[in-house]
This record gives sequence, structure tokens and C-alpha cells, in this order.
Amino acid sequence: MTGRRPLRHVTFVLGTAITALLIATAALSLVYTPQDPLAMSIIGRLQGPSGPHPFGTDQYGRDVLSRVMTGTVTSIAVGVIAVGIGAAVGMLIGILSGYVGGWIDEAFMRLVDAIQGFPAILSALLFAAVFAPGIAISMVAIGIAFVPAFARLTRAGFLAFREREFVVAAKALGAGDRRLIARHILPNILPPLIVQATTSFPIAILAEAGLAYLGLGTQPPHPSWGLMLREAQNFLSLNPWFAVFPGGAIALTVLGLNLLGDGLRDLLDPKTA
Amino acid sequence: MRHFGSLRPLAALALGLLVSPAAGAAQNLVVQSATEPPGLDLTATPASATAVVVFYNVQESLVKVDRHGKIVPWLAERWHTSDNKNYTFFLKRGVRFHNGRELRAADVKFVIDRAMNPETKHPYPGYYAAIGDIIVKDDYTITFTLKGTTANFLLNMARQGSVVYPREAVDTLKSEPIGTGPYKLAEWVRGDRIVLVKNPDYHVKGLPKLDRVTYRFIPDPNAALAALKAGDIDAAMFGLGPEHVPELQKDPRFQVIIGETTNDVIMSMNNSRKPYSDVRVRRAITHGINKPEVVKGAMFGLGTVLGTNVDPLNPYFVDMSGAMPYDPGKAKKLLAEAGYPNGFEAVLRVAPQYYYTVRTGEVLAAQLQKIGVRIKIEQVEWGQWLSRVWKDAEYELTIIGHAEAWDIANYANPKYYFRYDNADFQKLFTESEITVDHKARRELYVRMQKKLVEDAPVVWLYIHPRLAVTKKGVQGIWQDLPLPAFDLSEVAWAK
Amino acid sequence: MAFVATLFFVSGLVFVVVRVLPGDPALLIIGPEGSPEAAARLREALGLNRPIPLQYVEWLTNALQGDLGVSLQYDLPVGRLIASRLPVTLPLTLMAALFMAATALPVGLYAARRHRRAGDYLAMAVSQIGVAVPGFWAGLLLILLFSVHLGWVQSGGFAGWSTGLWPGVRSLLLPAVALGLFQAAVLVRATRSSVLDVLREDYVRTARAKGVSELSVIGKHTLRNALIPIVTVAGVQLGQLMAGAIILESVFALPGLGRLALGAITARDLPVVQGVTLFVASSIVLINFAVDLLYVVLDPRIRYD
Repeated sequence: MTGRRPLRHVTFVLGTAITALLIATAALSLVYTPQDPLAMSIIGRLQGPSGPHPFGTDQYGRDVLSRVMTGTVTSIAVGVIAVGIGAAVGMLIGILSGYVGGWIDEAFMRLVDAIQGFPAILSALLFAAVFAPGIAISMVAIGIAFVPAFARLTRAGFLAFREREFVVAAKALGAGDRRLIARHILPNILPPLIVQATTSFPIAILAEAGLAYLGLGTQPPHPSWGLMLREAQNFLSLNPWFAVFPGGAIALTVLGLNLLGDGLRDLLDPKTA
Repeated sequence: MRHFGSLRPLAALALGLLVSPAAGAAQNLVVQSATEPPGLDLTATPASATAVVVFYNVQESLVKVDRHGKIVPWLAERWHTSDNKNYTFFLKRGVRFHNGRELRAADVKFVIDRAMNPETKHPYPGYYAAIGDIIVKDDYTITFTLKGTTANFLLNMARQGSVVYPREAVDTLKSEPIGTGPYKLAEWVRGDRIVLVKNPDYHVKGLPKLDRVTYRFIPDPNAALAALKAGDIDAAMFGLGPEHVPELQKDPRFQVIIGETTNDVIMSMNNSRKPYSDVRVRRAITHGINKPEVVKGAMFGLGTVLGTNVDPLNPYFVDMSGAMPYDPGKAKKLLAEAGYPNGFEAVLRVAPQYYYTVRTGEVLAAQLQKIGVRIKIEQVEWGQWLSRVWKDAEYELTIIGHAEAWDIANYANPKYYFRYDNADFQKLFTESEITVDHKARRELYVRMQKKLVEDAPVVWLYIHPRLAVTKKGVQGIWQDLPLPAFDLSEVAWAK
Repeated sequence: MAFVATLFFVSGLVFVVVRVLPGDPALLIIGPEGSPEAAARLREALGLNRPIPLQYVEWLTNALQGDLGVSLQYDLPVGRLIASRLPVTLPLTLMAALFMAATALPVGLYAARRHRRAGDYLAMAVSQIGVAVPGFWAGLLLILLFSVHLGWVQSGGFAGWSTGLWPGVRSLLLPAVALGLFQAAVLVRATRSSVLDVLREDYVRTARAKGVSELSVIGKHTLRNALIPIVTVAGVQLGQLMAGAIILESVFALPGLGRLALGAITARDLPVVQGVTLFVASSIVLINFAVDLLYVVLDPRIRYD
């Protein structure tokens, strides 16, 4: 049973620590950053790491550390909510499709095909034109794009498990639909969904930056990791460090989430014992 | 990865063929262009991507604006007017279109008639509005009779919409333009490249010097820079950012060409909306902007600070850049007088299709913050910008570059998206259009520029610089762009 | 039948969205200095003034007869435009998919078998980096390394298939790797997770306890059952590769379908947007159909009612 004691599970502890650090950074940035993340100083632009600017400065001489800190709020919020929307809606569709089957399955899957086939840029443009630009709209737009992957994974799991011995046995013993889904099938198909969620996270963070160009999401001068990473490309030869820190922040987040996900899976997995 | 190794000599061979022009060998130039033209018909699209390829390279006009901004005879070897209303052009003899037929006066009449015809959807009909009658005297003589004196008539005949093409080729201009230019279209591989080859029968002796020009469409500026460094292209004339200049200037393999253009970058204020309808607010905003700092911050110091809408390449340019200096104290006072002692919030719409609008907006937002004007930046996709901001004036503040030469006329049009409606200015402009005497016209231009500075309908920020990078040894590229033309007729590799 | 319904639905939606989006194709074609009358005439000529449902029915009628219309900005038949871009986009996507499968499946399997040992950690660390590096950065870095510093391949552009198979493949190598890198990293993780999952199942433990050879455990018992989530993820990824191609076609200056679509959306060139959407949506439906069939092959217990 050692694997079931969360505090002794290294992966889980490390993942939790990183995630907690990020959340703490996000919270801290709301009340404190070393410098004003919007304050420009053209003379001090594009410098590498130094005492006053541990992460260096960007093309307007703004403090990259402060901007990475402030960007944490946006980027993590976008990641969590967009993945949340994608996972919630996708799993609901997947469960209905995979468990009920028949024409419901057919209808839902063709709907999911349609979502996947519809040009994402077009829906982003539509959102940008109809709604006032804001971060919430981009979360929804990105979340919708995640629905197909979660729906298909959930459905595939249900297709594979609904005829398995232990499910059939539970059914024969009179387990209700809800119990069958929640207790017998879902826990078994969770691992690929956790992987999907953690790998969707960086996609969401980067997509947010892509949408900013269409008027959705974070608008300059406000920072987000994705935007900084894009900007940094133009200044690669002048300050190569510029890309390192927002990129590193994204990598660290994904690392934390992956570790957390792996740990969670081990802890929740009915087969590990 | 081992079999990559065997590639190396092959790749080097291929590159060598493209790049190094040994003396006496064919002279080829590979040029980067950011976007593929939507079509190659200059009478159907205003796209600069089209002008880059076709204008002055494939097709030419009666007169030409040269690299110094002077109007010089071209397909017409001379012209004559005694009253500034009747212009007679005498065509150069023996000029042949790429299809072998000689250029005649009837072609010129056909081309300009077609531009004036509202049925043809010409992108610049305004330039031909003043023409009354076109009379072909003989094969080499043609007379234009204007409805009234029009000071810019000759300039308009040199613009990209006035190029001459043979009438029999009118239906294929979009994909196979034919003209009298130094280069002929050889091949258009859609999505990838356009290839021009030397016109051996060109009517100017000794030109062109290149045998082949290949335009490659590379949209990403960082990829263009990499292509340049890898030796895959010889010149990047469009799309590199000012931030790329410092490292290229240090690199002995390249030469950086920095010059002037007619592209005035301005922040316009919607003069029909509060609070911008109040001239004090507009002046306050102008005083609140530190233009040299904007050029430094957004353009890495490249670009000339502007004072009014007339650019230094214009003969009537007056340096007004110091007329409304950066003065945050005065700006705050003016805002207080106008009833905004605590400033106000404003939405600034920028068009990320043009990178400089976003960067300029970021610097402006930081500067205006200091006088209490709190800017919220909104990026707007180009199609929506054109429809909403430009056409319907649905905006408070916006930044864009105005690339047309001699575009002061926009301030005399109350329906233009500035919504600047001033009777005095309109009168001055109308007068300037019918005044041909240089001194008198100059006087009017000075008065117009002073009036504009006073009224501050927009903030003139800077001139977007001409930025071109070529390999060392490429000669004859225009340094300044007195009009949006990318003439390659005199370009050659140093021997 | 459902296939047709999906295409019908998507094309109808695209039609309405492009038509209601602010942005006037006539204004975009003729430019800001054109006369308003000319723009109005162009709108009339393009048929933009008629009611949207009527325009759609007309487009649909023609499309059903195989006529996808003419591009507003290029004046060329849409079918021809799409056909001219496929020789870039299809091989690019295919090569990226091949790269993804060829790297991710073995690495994922290896990592699962070496669970919590050095090999596993190394594989996870590498895929970690892959997941955090966006395509546009991967592309640029590959160009800087292989074209600028080493000079092994061209920095971009497409040589064309007419010059031979190898030059064509070579100009797509870097973009295919850049495109497949992120998806490969995702697939490594998915593979590892699924294989791990199956390795813990009772029957695998039983087989191992019985002394069945390791090769047989992996080949017969594990892979087959682990493949269902892997195939699902890969199917979704194939669709995502087509979307990701837009960015890399720009970075590598390739004349592909993605850039065509992007340009068409910017110019509100509806017939082209419609044509590309139809193509992409059909591909996605087909991919998913194939995935559904594969399920049954992999696990005979799966039935569709």
C-alpha cells in the first residue's frame, strides 16, 4: 500500500510542489512584482539577466521577471479553464456516445467531426467580431477546440470497456447506469484523459497568444507567456535570453502538471496496489 | 543522421548555381517578397505585393518618377503644355510590348479610357477624374484635355494605375501581364515564386542588367532573415523588421539600405467623436507624445519624425516636426481646460497585419498614461479594420501608415475616416489643386501644413523607413522610395 | 449519409460565418482608394447582394455537381487552386505523421517497460521539452541549425515534385519534423500511459507469472489492448497536424493548403474557404471512420449497433 500514501509518492509530491509554486506566483503577482511590468525604459532594452533584472528586459526595456510573473495569472487561467471546458464537454459527449451508442453515438460523433473540421481561425474571428475582446472569450474558443479529442478518447474507452467481464458482471448484479459509469468504467479510462489534459495545457497557452493577434485574449501591453514567447522570436539575435524565461515557465508548468497527473493516476488507479 | 552528410556537396552545388554570379555568367537575383500578389493586374488591385513585381519592372507609364522623386519622360520622350490644361505627349518610337507589337498612341488612350470607365473597378479612379478628353493625333502623339487645371496630373500619369499595356492583352493582365518593361514575366508558380526574365528588346539601351529576377514569397520575417543568412535569397526588400538591422549591419556579407518612403505613420483621432472633437484634446494628445522616443521604442531609431502629412520627399515639405513638441505639462493643462483634468480612457485600434502599428501603440500607451489618457489597445484583423475603422469610422484612435504619395487631399475630405471637417483647409486645398505656379503652390502648401499642425486632426508620428538588405555586391537599388515602386531595371551585381 | 450531413452542416456554418463577419470582399479586392460605386458594382458582380440563404443554395447546387466556384481574389477555379496545393500539404502531413509514429511508438513503449528507471525518465524529459516547444519556434531553430549553420538543406520554399522525388522530400523534411515534434511528444506520453495501464492488468501479470516470454507479453497481450487509446489519440492528432501545418507553411514558405486557407479567410474569399473546409472536413470524417474500423479489428468485442 505504499503507493497509496500521497506524501511518500515522489512524483505526486514534486508535481504538487511545482503547481503550488505557480499558483503562489500568480497570487503574489496580483499584489507584488519586483518592477512595474508595464514600465518602459528604451535605453535599457533587450538586456540579459542582471541584478536589477534577473530575467533581463524585453524590447521596450520592461522587466521580464515581472512580466513572466504577471503572465502567470493569464496563462494558467487560460490553461485551466480552456482544458476544463474541453474536458467537461468532451467527456460528457464521449460518455453518452460510448455508453448509449446507436444513433446518439452517430449524431454526436458527426457533431464532433464538424467541430474539428470547422476552421478554428474562423470561429475566433467570429468571436472577436461579436464579443468585446476579453480573456473569457478566448478561453471558450480554445476550450471548444479541445472538445473533439476528449470526446473521442472517452468514447474509445467506453467502447473498449463496456463489454469487459467486470462491467458485464456488475451490470448483471443490477448496478445502475450511473454507478456503472462512475465506479466501473470511468476510473479505468482516466489515464489517457489525464495525459490529454496535461498535453493540452501548453496548446492552450500558445493558442491564447495566437488569438491575441485577432483581437481576442490578452492585448498588449499586458503580458502573457505565449505572447512573450512569440515576441521574443524577433529579438533572438539581440537578446536570446528573452525567449528562455517565458518558454521555461511554460515548460515548468507542463512538467508540474505531468508529474501531478502521473502521481494522481498512480494514486487513483484501482489496479495499483 | 548520417545520410544527411552526402547531401552537402549537392546542396552547395545548387546554392552555387543560384548565388554566385561569376563575371560574364548570367546575372540572377533572388528577392524575398512577404506576400504573394492576389493578381498581377495593376488596374484591378492596389496590393503593394503586385506593384513590387509589376510596376516599372514589367509595365511602365508615359512618365516616370525616378529614384530622386523627379518626374522624367519615359514612354513619352517629351511632353508639352502651354496652358496646363492641354497636355500633349510625344511617344518614344520603336518601343515594343513583350508580345512584339509596337506601342502606339491608341494603346495609351485605351488604357486611360479604361481607367476612367466606372465599369472597370479601377483601384484609383480619383487620379483620372480631372481628364476630360483624350485625342490621338497620330501614332506617336496624344493630347489630354483636362476639365480644369490639375497640378498633379503628370504625377498621376506616373503612378501604378497608369501603366500602359497592349489592348489585346487586357483579359489576361491578372495572370500574364504584358508591358514594355525591362523584364518579362516568365513563370508564376503559385504560392512559391514569380520569375521575371530580361526583355532583350528593352527600349532603354543597356538595361536591364539582370538576366533573371526571382521573387520568393516568405511571409515570416525571421524566416526571411534565416534565408538571407543561409544564402538562399540575395535580397530581402520587404518585411524585415528594424530590429534585424543592427546584426545585419555588423555582418560583412550584407549591405543594409535605409532610406525614406512616403509611408506616413499616423495616429488618427476620430474628429467627429467626443472628446476628440475638441481641438484642445487633440493638441493635448499631440503634446503628450514624445515622437523621437516612439521612433526609438517602436522602430529602433529608424524612421524620420513627422510634423505634418507632407513627407521630406515632397518638394513642398516644410519641417514641422518641432512645431508641437513633447510637453506633458502643457498637455495636462490643455486637457484640464477641455474639461478632463483627470484625463480619460480611450480605445486604440491597431492592425497587427502591420507590425509597426502594434509596437507604436504600445509605446504610445505608455507615454499617454503620463498625461492621464489611459489607452486600451485592441488588435483588429485587417478585413475588419478596413470595414469598421476605415470605411465606417467606428473608432476613437487608430494607427496606420498612409503609403500614398501626395495624400494631403484626405484632410480636405470630411468623409474620410479622420472625420476632419474644416472649411478653411478645404478651400486652401482646392486652390492648391488648380495652382500650377510652383512658388504660389508652395505657399499654399506651407499654409496648409501650418493649418494642419494648428488643428491637429491626427498625430503625425514618423515616416516608415525604407529597409532593404542585400548581399554585398548588389548595386543600383533605389535608396529612397518617392512612390511605392521597386524598380529593378538598373540593379546589377558588381563585376 | 451521416458523412454528407456533417459536410452539409460545416459548409453551411462556414458560409454564414464568412458572410456575417465584418469585412467586405469587394473593399478588400479594390482597396481603400477605389470608388464606392465600383465597390458596389463589384459586390453585385460577385453576387454578394443577394440573400445569404439563396447564395448558399446556389453554391451547394454547384458543389454537388463538382463545381466549387471561382476564387474571388485569384479569379481561378477553386478546385484547381486546392489541387495545386495538395502536393505540398498531403506529403507534409504524411511525413509528419510518419515521423510522429516512428519516434513516439517505440519510445513510448520503451519508457513504459523501463517504468521509473533511467530510460523512462530520459524519455519523459525529452518529450517534456517537445511538448513545451511551439511549432513556430521548432521551425525557426531547425532552420537556423540545418540551413544557416550547417547548410545541409534549403531554408524554405518547395522544390516541386517535377524536379524529382528526393528534392521534393528534402524540402519537406525540416517542416515535417517541426510539425511532428510536438505531436510526437504527446503521443510518447499517451503510448507510455496506455502501455503502463495494460501492463498492470491482471491477465498480463498472469501471463508473466506463467513465464510467457517478454516479447510475447508485449506483442500479444499488451500492445493490442493498449492500441485503442493510442489509435484514438493518433487519429485526433492527424487532424491537428493539418491545422498545425498553417503555421509551419508560413515559417518554411511552403505553398500549402493552410496558407491558401489563411489568405482566403483574410480576403473573405468565400469560395476558397468553403473548398478548403470541405476538403479538411472530409479528411477528418474519413480518418475517424478509419479509426472506428480499427477499433473493431483491435478488439473484436467492440460492436457498433
